[in-house]
Amino acid sequence: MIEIENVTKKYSGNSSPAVDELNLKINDGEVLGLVGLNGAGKTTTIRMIAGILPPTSGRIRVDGLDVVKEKVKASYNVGWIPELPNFELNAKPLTLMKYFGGFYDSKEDMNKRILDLLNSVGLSNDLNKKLRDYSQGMKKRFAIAESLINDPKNVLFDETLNGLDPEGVKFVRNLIIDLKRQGKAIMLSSHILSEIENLADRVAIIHHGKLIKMLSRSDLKNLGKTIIHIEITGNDSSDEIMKETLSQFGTFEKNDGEIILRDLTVPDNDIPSILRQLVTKGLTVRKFEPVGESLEEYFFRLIGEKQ
Amino acid sequence: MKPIVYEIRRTLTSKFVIIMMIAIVGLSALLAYESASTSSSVNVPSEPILSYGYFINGNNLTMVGYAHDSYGNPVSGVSVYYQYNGTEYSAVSSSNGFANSTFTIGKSPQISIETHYSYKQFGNRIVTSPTQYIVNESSHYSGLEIISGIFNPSNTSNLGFMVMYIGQNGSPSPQVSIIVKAVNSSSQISDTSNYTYYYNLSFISIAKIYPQINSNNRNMSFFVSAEGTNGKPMMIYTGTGKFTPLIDLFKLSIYTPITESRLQSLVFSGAASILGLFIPILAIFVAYLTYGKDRTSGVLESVLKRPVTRGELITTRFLSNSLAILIAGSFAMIVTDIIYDRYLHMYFTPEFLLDLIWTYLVEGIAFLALIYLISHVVKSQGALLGAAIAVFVVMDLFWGVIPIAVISALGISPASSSYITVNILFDYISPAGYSNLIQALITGQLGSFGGISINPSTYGITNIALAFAGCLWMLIPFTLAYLLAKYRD
Repeated sequence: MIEIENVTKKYSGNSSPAVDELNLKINDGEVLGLVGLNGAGKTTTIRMIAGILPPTSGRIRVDGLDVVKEKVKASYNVGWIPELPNFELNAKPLTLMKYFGGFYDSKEDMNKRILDLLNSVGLSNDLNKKLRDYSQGMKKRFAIAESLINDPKNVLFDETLNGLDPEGVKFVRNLIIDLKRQGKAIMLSSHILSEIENLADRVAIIHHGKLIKMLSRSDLKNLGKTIIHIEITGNDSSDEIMKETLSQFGTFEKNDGEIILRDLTVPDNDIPSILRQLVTKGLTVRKFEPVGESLEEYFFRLIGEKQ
Repeated sequence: MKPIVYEIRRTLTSKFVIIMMIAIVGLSALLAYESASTSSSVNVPSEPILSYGYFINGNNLTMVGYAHDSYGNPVSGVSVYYQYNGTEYSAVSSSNGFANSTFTIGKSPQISIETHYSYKQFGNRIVTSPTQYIVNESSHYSGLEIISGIFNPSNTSNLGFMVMYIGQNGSPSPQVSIIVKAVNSSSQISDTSNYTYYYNLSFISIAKIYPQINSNNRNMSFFVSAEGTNGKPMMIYTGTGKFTPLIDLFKLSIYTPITESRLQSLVFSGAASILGLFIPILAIFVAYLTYGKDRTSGVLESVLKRPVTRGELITTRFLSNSLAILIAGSFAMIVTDIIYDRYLHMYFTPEFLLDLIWTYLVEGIAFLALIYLISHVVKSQGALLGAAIAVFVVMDLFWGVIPIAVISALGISPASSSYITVNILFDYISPAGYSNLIQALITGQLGSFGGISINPSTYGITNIALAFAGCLWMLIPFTLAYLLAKYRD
């Protein structure tokens, strides 16, 4: 479990805070998606949880342990996969893994665990290469392996999906699901919002270092205002009828034969009346699908409003 | 694997450290060899030497001249001149070194022959001053002569002697025992069994004898006598018309034992200069490669996310880097010590050896700590590398020049005490000057600018001051780096 309480991070005294009075909690067995524009404070937040950066104020606790005051104990159960992993490039993966493994009092056979991890991320055939000879994707796979070396209870994924091939994306997706099943607390930061939407139990949207929205799983299913996807077949006159009819119920746009009606003037429970009107006016309606906004649409609308 | 073990292994097995260690130890050894072998070698003269003998056949005197080098080897092409009764006779030495001349003499108990010789050296003909050789006519041949002071080619610190026998023309070859006896400081004749040489001498014979000289008899005086097969003493001709039963050789070793202070000066002028240059290079760039570069590139974060504090991480890396400096400095000094002992027969005193190791440990660790500190001040790898090179160039490579420039600019006279004070001040300011201060403390010489003799304590150079300065140089930059790592990053 990760608890972030009133955390602020300033890189210098005069600058505006990278993270501003942030409060978050990630429960065990939960995936928290962290969404925000570049510079929103996502990576800074993750680096503070990982113990790389100390917060300027506030407190971060991992499984109840303060990451500043009890750094060694707290770091014991944090795994962090950074966006751009950096390693000692002259080292070979096994040697470096053994070095990293030396920081943990593992009761398990560390050598066996290291080999299993490297095998699971698909690097077992590249153990004799130096890390400088690894591609960015291979380095990211190695980063996943070394971050899980102590089987941590809390795992931070910072733009981990970037630079991975489709197989790698699938691997990480399955890994996150698997870790969640094991009851681990997971923070997932990604610009691929569809992945967040699919994987996260909750989504935290941060902007200029502040939490501006926390969405639950049920919120994700009905995000923001309803829009209606409509397909109508007919002649030129039906187009005029359609425009006249739909303009009473909101604003619409036509895109490749599909009409998207948004900013509805009727409440959600009166949406069937739109369909009735269209049919009454003799139009042939092939598709009428009211949906919530996608996370991406919602995100951009929310950020746009904030700006 | 324990992280400290990995850090030490990483430091000691990096190509840069291995190359630097080889360079430091190898160059120190070479310089030690150069200064020790030069210091211990004897300047052996290259000019030819003439040794004389004679035999008389009727009224004819044959003067035998043997031209040889300082090792007793024959020298050809030397023109030898014998002057008798105003007439000069000459001969040129052949490949066996002999330049003999026969001429008629009158009846006289003793005949004085004036001799001199000439040879070519670097294209010029050198003519020696005349000397007098006395022919004792009562003896028809000079017989056994001992020519002392020839150099032992296998060890030029030791001398030997040459036995030259000129017999009667057509006489049989006698057998002789050449006996060398040593006299110790109490004028007691030592055991002579190892110093008896047996020879079969023919009409004209030359033999070289190098008695074994070791540390036990290096200071003893020697003399030579000869016995025939009947055990009776054989008389040795002295070249002055007289025969003697024995010849004093005095000492057969010209080895001068080195003093401790001379050895220390040799070290500071030789191997120390290499260590003063290369240990800072090792320290600066090992700090850059294993800490600063990792920190500025973000590699350190892959370690910092582990259950380790920043303080532990910086300390572990610093200690493993320091170990490389300690190993390089100690190994270089021990090899230097062995080489000096091989040639000068004296080991460093343990105190001096520890002083040297401490000196270069302080220099190395101080530069190491400076780069650790700068690593926490600059933001990029390029800036750090530039700063590291600048530190090396300014604070080590040209540090000896900067005070001279400052002194010149200030118009301070080189003979004044201000001159020395400014130099010492600069030696305290940079870790590169620490070896100068240690040298001044041990030898009383400020070597970096011409070897000025000083009283170290007058200028504040004392054991306590240097121990304190050394500790400060190591601790202050590292403590600052530690605090920055812990509280600022």
